[in-house]
Amino acid sequence: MAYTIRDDEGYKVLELSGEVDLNESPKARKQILELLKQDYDLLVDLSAVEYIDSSGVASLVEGYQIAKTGNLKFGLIGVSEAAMQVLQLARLDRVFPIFDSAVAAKG
Amino acid sequence: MESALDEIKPSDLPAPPQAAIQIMRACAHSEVNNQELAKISSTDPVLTAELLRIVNSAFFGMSGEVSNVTRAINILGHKALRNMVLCISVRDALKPDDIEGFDSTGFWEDTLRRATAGKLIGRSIGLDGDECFTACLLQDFGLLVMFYAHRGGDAKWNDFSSLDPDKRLQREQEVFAVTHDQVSLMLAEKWMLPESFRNAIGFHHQPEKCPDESSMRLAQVMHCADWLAALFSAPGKARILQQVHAKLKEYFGYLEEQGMELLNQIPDQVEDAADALGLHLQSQEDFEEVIREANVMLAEENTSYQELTWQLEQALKERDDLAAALAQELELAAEIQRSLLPAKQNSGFPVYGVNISARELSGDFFDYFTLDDGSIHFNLGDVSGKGITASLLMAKTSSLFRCLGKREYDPGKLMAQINDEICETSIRGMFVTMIAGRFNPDTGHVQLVNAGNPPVLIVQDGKIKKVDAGAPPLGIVPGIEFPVIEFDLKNGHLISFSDGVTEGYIGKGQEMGMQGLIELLEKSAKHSPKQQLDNVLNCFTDARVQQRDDITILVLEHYPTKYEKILSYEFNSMPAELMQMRQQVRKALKSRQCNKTCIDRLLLAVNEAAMNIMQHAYSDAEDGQIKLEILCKQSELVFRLTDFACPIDRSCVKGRDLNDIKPGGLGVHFMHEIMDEVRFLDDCKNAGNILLMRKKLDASCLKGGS
Repeated sequence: MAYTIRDDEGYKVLELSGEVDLNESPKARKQILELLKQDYDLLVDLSAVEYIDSSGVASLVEGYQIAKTGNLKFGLIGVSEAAMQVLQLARLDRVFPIFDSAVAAKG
Repeated sequence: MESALDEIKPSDLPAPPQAAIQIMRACAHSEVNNQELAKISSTDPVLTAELLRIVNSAFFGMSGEVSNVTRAINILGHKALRNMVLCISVRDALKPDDIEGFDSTGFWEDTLRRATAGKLIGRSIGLDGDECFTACLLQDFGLLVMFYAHRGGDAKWNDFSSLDPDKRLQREQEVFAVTHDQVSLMLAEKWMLPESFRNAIGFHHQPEKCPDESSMRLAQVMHCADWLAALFSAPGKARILQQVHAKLKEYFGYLEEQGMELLNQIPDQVEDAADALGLHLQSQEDFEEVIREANVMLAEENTSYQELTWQLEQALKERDDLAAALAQELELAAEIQRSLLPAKQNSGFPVYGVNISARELSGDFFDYFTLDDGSIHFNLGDVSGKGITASLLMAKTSSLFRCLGKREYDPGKLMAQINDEICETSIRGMFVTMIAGRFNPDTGHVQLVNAGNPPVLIVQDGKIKKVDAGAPPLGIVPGIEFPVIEFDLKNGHLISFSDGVTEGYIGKGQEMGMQGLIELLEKSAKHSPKQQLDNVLNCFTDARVQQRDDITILVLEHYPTKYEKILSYEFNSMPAELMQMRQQVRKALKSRQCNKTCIDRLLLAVNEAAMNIMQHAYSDAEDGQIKLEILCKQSELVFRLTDFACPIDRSCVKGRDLNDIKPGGLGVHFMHEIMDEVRFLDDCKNAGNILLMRKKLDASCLKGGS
C-alpha cells in the first residue's frame, strides 16, 4: 500500500493505493488519526485501492468516529469497486459519507 | 314382362322362301356349281326377278348388264349370291307392321345405315364389302324377332329405337331377359349361315370374344357400324362420335380424319342401298348437320374439360402452396418445441437426455434446471396422442414444470399443481404421463414422482432396480396427491424413458420391450452411463423399420465423490505473508472459471480467516504455521485452513451486530456472508484448529454470470 496527502477544496485528502490489508492498514490508520488530530476535515480517496480487508475498513470506521466526536468533516471519495464491495458487505456504504470528489463533498 | 331365349319358339323365327333356303344351303357347299344354283333360283320367279333387279342396281355396281341368273352368279360368285338372297329374305321375312308403334321406315333407315357403314368400313380394311353389308343387315334383326315374338306385350318400339348400342343391349336384357345378338345368332343358325358369319353376329357387341381372327374382324366392323348408325338415331351425339373415333382407332388404327371420310360417304350409299333393295326411305337427315352438331358439342365438352383441367391444376397448385406453408409452420413449431428442451450443458453436468421425434412434432419432452440450492429439478413426459395437439399440450406441460418448478421445490406438490392446471384446461381425453423429481448431485439423493410413466431404472453396481409409477397420469383426476419416492443413487445412475423406447422397433421390427432394455443395460454394465445411452439409441438407428413413436430418454448420474485439490499452500502467521497467500488463491480460483466479483469475495473470506488465526489462535505471534488447502468438487469449493496453535474457544468466534458501528469484528461476518458454510472440524488430530469453509458455485459465480 502507498499513500499521499494533498489539499483539495479546504480538505486534507489522504489517497490510499494498492492493497490495504492487515499488514498495511496500520500505516493508513496512523495517517488518518494524525490528520484528524490536527483538526483537518478529512477525505480518504479510495480510487486506487485494489483490496481492502476488515482491518482497513476498521481504520476508516475509527476515523469516522473520531471526526464525529471532534466535529470534523470525514468522508470517502472515488471509492473503487473492490473497496465498495467490502463496504457493502459490512453495510457501511450507508454509514460513511461517500462522494465522487472533493468538489462534490464541498458542494 | 320377361322372356328367356328358350321361350322364343322356332315358329317365331321368320322363315325365308324355300328357294332362298336352298340357295343358302347350296352356297354353304363349295362344290355346288353355278347351273345348279341358277336352277334352284328359277323355281322362284319372284326371287329371280328380285335378284336380277338388285344385281343391276347402282349399289352393286352392274347397272343393266346382267340379264339372267346364271350370268349373275358367274359374275358375282356364290358368296355374293348368297348375300343377295339373304338380303331379300331379311327384307321380306317379317311383317313388322304387326308390331305396335313400329316405324318401318325408321327401322330400315337405321338398318341400312348400319349395313352401309359396315360395307364401307369392311372394304376399307380389305374385307368383302357386300358380306359386311349383309352381316350388318342381319345383326339387329334379332330385336325385331323379339318384338315379333312378344307382340301384344308392354314393350314399346320407341323405347328402343333411339338408344345407343350399349344402352339398347341393357334395355333388352331388362325387358326381354335376352338380347338381340343372341336371337340374331339363333336366326343365323337356322338359316345355316357360315360359321364365321354366325360368330360375328353372336359376338358383335364384344368382338374380343370371337374364337377366330376372321370372325373377330367382321364382328369389329359390325360393332363400329352399330355406333356409326347410332350417330343418326340416338341422342348424345358428341359422346357417340367420340366412341366411333375411339373404336375405329382401337380396332383399325384409324385417325379421326379417316373416320370422318368414312362417315361422309354413308348418306349417299344408304340411298343407293335402299334403291337396290326396293325400300322407300324418307329424305335423309342432313348428315353434315348431324356431324357438325356432334363436333360442336364435342368442342363444348372439350372446353369444359379444359376448364376442369385448369381448375384441377389450380386446386393442385393451391394444395401444394398450402402444403408448403404448412410444412413451414410445422418446421417453425418444431423449432419452438426444440427450444423447450433444455440447453446442452457442459459434459460434466450430471443430468442429460435425448429426444428423437418420430414426426415433425413430438409429444415427448424432458427438462432440467438447477435450483438456488444447487439441486436439480428434472422431468420427462409423454403426451397421449401424436401430432400437433400432442405437441401443444407438451408445450403447456413443459412450461408449467419450468415455471412452477422454480418456486416449488417439492416434486410431489409440484406435480399436484401441474396436474390441477392441466385438469382445469385440458381437452377431454388427453393426458400426460410424466416423471418429475429433484436430484442433489452432491449427495446423489433423489426425490421422484412417477405419474403413469413407464418405470424408471436405477443402475447401481451393475444391478438394475425398477421404480414403478405411483400415481395416475396428469390431467385425469384433479386434486389428488402424488407420492414421492426417495432414494440415493450412490455412485449409480438413473434412466427414465418414454414408452417409445420399450415399444420402439429394433432389428427386423421386433419391439425393444422392458426386458430387452434391461438385458441391454445389464450386458453393458461396465460401460459409462453415456455409453449405455448410446447403446440403446444405436438399437433404434440400426433397426430396419421406421420408428412409430417418439424416443425420449433422461439420465441422472451421481459421480463418485472425489475432491480435487486445487491448492495446498503453507505460510507463517505474519501479516506480510497475506498478500502472497491471496495471489496463490486468486490463481487457483481463476482456473475454476470463477468471475472477478466471486474471486474478490472468496479472497476476502479466506484472508479474514487467516487474519483470525494470526490474531486469535497465534495471538499475533509470527512464527506459527498456517496451511491452506482448496478442494474442488464439480460446483463446490472447500477451503480448509489448519493451524497448530492451541484449540480456541469457538464461542468467541462470531460476527458482531452490524448496527453497532465499531472498528473490529467484521471478519467473521464477512466469512459467513460470503461462504455457504463456515465451521471448525471437531477432530483435528495433530493440528490445533481446522476451519472449513464451503462455497457452492452457482451461475452468478461463474464467468459470464453476474
